[in-house]
Amino acid sequence: MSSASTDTHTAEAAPDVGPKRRLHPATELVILACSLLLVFGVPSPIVPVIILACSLVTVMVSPAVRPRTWAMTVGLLCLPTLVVLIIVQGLFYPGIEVHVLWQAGPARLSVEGLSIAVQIWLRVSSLIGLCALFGLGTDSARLFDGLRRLRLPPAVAYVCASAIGLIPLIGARTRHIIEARQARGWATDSWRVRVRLLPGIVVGLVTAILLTVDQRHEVLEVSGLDSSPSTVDLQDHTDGTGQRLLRILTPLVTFGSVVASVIGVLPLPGAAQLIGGA
Amino acid sequence: MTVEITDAGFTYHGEDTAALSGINLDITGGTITAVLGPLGSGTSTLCRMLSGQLASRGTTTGTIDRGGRVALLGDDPEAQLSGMTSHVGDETQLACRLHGSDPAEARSRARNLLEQLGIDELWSRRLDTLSGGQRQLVALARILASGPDLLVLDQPAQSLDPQMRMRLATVLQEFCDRGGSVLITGHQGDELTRICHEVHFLDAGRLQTATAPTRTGGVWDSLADDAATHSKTVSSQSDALLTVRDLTVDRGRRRILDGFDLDLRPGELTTVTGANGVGKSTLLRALLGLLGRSATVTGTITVSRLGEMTRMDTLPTHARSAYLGWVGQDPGQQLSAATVARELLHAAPLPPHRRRDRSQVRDQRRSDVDTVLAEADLTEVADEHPFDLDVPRRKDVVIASALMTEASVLLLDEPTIGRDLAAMTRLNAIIERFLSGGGAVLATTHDQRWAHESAHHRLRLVGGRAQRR
Repeated sequence: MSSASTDTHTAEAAPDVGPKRRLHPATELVILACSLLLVFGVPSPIVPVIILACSLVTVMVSPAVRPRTWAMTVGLLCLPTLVVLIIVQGLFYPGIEVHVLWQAGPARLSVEGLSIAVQIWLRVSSLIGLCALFGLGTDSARLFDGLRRLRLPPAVAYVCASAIGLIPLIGARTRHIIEARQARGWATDSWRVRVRLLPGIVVGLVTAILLTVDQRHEVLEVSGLDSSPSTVDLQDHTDGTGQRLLRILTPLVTFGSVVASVIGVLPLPGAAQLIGGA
Repeated sequence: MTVEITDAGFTYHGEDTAALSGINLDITGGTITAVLGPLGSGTSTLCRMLSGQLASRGTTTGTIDRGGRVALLGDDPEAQLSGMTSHVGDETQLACRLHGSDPAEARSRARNLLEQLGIDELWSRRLDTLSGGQRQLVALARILASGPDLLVLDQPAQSLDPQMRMRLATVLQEFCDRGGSVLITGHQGDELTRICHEVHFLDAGRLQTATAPTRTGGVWDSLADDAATHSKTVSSQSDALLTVRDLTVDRGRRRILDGFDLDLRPGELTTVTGANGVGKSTLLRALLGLLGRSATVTGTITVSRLGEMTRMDTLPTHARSAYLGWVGQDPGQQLSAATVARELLHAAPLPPHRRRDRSQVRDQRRSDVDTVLAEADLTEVADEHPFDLDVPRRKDVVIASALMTEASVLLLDEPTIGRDLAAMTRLNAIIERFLSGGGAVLATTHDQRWAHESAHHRLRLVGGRAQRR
């Protein structure tokens, strides 16, 4: 038979991401949820910056996520957001009493507008960075195990796990469709051609995904999904007292930090203070 | 007795005619049984009925007594993995763990199965880097590891090389020695059907009472009969349409192709055989420039048209497609339109034209579509969705889309997979017509008989190099 049916992966053998080197997926889920709560619960740009930096460091040291893929995903989603926010909030902030840094016609760059733009962008970017780190470094079985450990009903866990399996599926299918078009003479490097082919690509993609989801469910049914009431993990993971403690303490610390921030006990500077105008 | 089927039938919802009727079949423990039949005869329906997959899709009649647990491997090569896991080791253990096996036992069984199948080195590989054959073996290992009583395998050998089929036959025989039983269905006779204790034939949903020789009943026998077959003779020594010299492909630290040379002449079919995962698909993708950054490709690829030589290895894929028509291994990955006719209509860009000539160019395209539909025997299914067709028909649609281009060389990846006698005849007719028009075909295959009978040149890929047969 052939060599690779999908030839976009440079590394054929997986790096040894053994269970000893990785947290239990349930712990990862708890950290993910708590980090997002911190990002949106504490009104300071320092929190999303710290979380974004931690995500970046994790990506660099983790053998489970390719830094290039993570950077492409985050860049593709965050850079357009940044542009939109700077235009809408930074240049056309509607407030009256503002500290103007620069003005040209109706556009004026104000500290207040800029601080809101920076705050929103950092929050969205840290959300995307974290979710990309988790989404690219896990597969459906791993998420399924994590959700079941967190006592979610198997049916709910299965639906969530299947949904995360769509991320690589969509990527692979899109690649295949574009390859198929290239092989028939379409110069898909050109954005003009891609836009022209877009309706056909989307229809083909949706059909293929619906079919694949149905086929996968059938494969799982004949492989024993719902056949056993026992909850054996689908993959090997490490878990212990330390991680169990972490899963309890992390939400408590997060909740405490948010409450402290709301009542003003946590003295973290806001975006406007950091920019220096207000 | 593992399974006893008595006077069973099945009718899909919305259909007037039964897909299966009057089926009587006993499958006893320790035996391998084959049910063969042409496409549409009901072999896949029989498998799904036996494994209890059809309850919500139609009406079952008769009785089916299952004396144990049934495990099914479906026929669609593109739909055999669960999508839950990313690595071979996890996928192979999946069924065991879903059935509640102890993790250590599941791991041990999975490793043991991969060892028996001779693919234990794949344990840490990502699933999306596997070849079609390797994918099929991993899916087989997954269901075998869970220890079912009856294995129902729909075309289990279609993507496997002959050596791997023999190895699978041994594994299945060992499974039967431990008391299990196996039902194999399909449209081709092969190394697996030869070891079956019983071979039945299905025709239009009815099981034939008497067993018949393998080459009857619309079934294709993929085993070469050396006494009866012969290779095509090479008619001329005209200039090559495609010349490949010293083609080398490296992926990571692994060398897939090592100084591969090839000459394709007009009117000639060249087949490439070789073990699963040896690099046959990679060869075709390298010729078309589809490997991208995943591999380093060196060597020269030259095409000739009207006496003019063009170096292709520096061209992008879309420019190479003017000379090469690629038909990949998984047809579903190359299809995206809602009907067969629309797939062909939009397969390739319209030729350069002035705006005022557009309607004329479009009329010409519609006319070309009708011609190609007729040539590929697809006129009857022109308005059907490509995914509603069986796998060989889907492949025919992709071949037809390649014919919509001006390519003078067809690159066919496993064109014989899942074909019955009629579908093989159809494929041969398409290729014959293309060759008689001055084209050349390069096809990868595991079908020794087809390669032996149809090819003008046969190559075997071993260690990245081509050996002439």
